[in-house]
Amino acid sequence: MNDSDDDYLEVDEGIEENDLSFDKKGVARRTRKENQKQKTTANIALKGSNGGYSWEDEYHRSWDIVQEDEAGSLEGIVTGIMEAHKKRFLKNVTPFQRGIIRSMVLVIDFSKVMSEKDLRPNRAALTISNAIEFVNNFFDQNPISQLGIVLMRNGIATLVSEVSGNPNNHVEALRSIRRLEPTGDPSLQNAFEMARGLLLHTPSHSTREILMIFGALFTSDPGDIHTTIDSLVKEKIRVKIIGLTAQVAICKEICRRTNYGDDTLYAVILNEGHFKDLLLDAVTPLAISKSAQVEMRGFTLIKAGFPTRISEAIPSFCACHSKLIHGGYICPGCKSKVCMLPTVCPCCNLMLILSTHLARSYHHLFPLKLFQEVPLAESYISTNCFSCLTEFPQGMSESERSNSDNRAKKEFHTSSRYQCPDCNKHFCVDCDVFVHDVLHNCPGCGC
Amino acid sequence: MDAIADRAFQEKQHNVSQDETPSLLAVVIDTNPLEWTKLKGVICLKELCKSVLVLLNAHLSLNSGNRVAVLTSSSLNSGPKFLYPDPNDKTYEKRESLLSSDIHRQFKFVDQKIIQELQILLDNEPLNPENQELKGSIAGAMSMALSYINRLTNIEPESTGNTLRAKMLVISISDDSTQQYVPFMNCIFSAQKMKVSIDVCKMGPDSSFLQQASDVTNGVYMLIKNVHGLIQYLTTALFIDPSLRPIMVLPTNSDLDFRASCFVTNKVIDIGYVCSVCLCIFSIIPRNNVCPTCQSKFDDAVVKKLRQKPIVIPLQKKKKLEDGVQRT
Ligand SMILES: [Zn+2]
Ligand SMILES: [Zn+2]
Ligand SMILES: [Zn+2]
Ligand SMILES: [Zn+2]
Ligand SMILES: [Zn+2]
Repeated sequence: MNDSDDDYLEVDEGIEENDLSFDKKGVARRTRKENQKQKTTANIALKGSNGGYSWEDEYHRSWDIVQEDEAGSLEGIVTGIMEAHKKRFLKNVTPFQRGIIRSMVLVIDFSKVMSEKDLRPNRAALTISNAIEFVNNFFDQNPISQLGIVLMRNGIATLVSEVSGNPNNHVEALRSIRRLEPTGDPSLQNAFEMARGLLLHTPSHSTREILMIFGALFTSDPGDIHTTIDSLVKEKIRVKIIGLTAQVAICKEICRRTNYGDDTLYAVILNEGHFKDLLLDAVTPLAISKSAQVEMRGFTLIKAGFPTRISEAIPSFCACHSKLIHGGYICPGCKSKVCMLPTVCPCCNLMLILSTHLARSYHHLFPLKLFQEVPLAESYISTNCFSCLTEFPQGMSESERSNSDNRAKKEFHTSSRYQCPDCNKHFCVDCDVFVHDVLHNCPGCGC
Repeated sequence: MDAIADRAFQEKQHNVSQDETPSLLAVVIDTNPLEWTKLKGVICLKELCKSVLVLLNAHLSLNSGNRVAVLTSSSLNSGPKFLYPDPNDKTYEKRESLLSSDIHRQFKFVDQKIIQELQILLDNEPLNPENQELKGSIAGAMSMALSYINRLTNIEPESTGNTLRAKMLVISISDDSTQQYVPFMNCIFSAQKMKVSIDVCKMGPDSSFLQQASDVTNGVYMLIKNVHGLIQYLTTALFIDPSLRPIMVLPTNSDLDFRASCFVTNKVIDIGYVCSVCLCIFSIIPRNNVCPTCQSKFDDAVVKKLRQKPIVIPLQKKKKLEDGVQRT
């Protein structure tokens, strides 16, 4: 998912603590998903080492930053970099109040500029395939949310797929526009007006968001875009824009005004990998900003039913469509049968969902604490990774450390052990990444 | 099938090739001693072990590349633990053998190791368990098993090139109330992402969580009533190849209970309240109208509406209604 580009080495907070013996200056920096602190530095990240923009920098090749150690070997450094690379996947773990039930309109630029080939194979093709990946990730992480897709083409906005909770429809629709040729000018105003209309009927407990992928540097609008921005602000629609070319002043203003003065949701991609990262950022529910909380009277509490699935030998009618079907879900409130979830019970108005839909987002809520790297020592209490049983390298004694032959060894640079602050068990770097990225449980804390 | 839970992954599942890829079977055995005492007279751990060993041997004999791992969930003395493989112990021959000498070497190695480790586990249990806290849970053992599966199926093949599939079998005897909901759910979704099916063999009370686990991951759920046929259950259900499962009638109970657990009282409920910020489930409206997990303040007007009891309006002839009473 997070393909890294060979020409860039992503430097992250975690890495700077690692004692890697290469000069980190001048290495292009990239932001990392879900690292809130880094988000705010997105624009600083564009700046290179000399304070100018990164494209003004001298070009650094990835092989320039690696220096041989005294013995002329790269092995120790390479393993260090490998672990550092893995560590960068780790995220910020502060829990936020997030709007987990989301309604989003994805707006894709399909104007003439999108046929440019600065992204391979071309901008439009890459955007579509990234968008398909985004849709799948979005519904994986936001199971009871809604999404719609709008295209900017020939000066007008075209609806590609209606706001709905079914990812397959969206993916189908995105596949079908692959055949289209990008033509004409984009119109921000038309796109925003259409997205606004689509988001009009969303329930009050849902967020309203627009995610735009914008390739052009201009917009051709039928009227005053500022009135559109005003209505976006009034309707509390939050806009995130991903620019493919360069910064555009109006985009920055839109993001700033719709996000309570915070313009970090506007970002311009640095390369293909960064494009993916920016889209991945949008998968995580937005934190509810302080100023927005003040305005609210409070959040909604929803009454919901968790139905039972039944299977029947003889089909019976469902209450929602009056169709004859085998099996279905039984509303716990009134015992009527519905055929699809999530839905609202047509008889008793109870919202029916599966607990498994909700449970997918719980890890946002109870984030796992980051593991600490165990400091270098002569001997360690653990010999194997607690959860996958991989053998750890042994500690190096003082005499071994002074031997310069050993400098190239991995255990000279790192203990390779990562400790959970709660249960104090030791894990290998692979398990550390797996546990924080996929599992979201500490295997040692399961007590 | 469940429309949403699986959809993000459905596309990729189509082209599972039925090749001879070896597979790893990870077995998680519920060893909660307090629950085992409840099953006294029905089945004992020894009987269960016999059947599990037969299953493991059968699995190993299917393909020479097949591997097994066995974990225990909990005990009074230690938390989740690997019975096999054991990384530290390379001296298994030294201990006196509990098995007959003329069995296949690989079987012998695995069986002996598991029996010995289980014996050690039981020997270390305190004799008077009154005021002892239970350590470990099924979710903890499943987390460990998933990390191990991740190592064997995702990390190691990067260097060795040997691909491996994996599946998990959970043998549980405990009640749902002893489980932690969130870690358990996290395990289910990770297993789904990793395409590890979770088969469940349940004795004692029925479990809604484990039903969901097998449903989400395309596994088999068996509630076993007649424990004497245990090995029959294990072998018939579990040796259905994952690629054949969509077209076979599985011995799973067909009605599926999707109830959730309340975050405050841990009660299993079918109707509850959901916080719109964190999606936590509550069986009652939280005190002070503040979400206990995310501290969000709920809208008073909304809560007031939810608190309203349904009002039964007495039947009256419409025409006779006076203006004031009519508002309902
Ligand atoms: Zn229906
Ligand atoms: Zn109903
Ligand atoms: Zn590990
Ligand atoms: Zn821990
Ligand atoms: Zn909450």
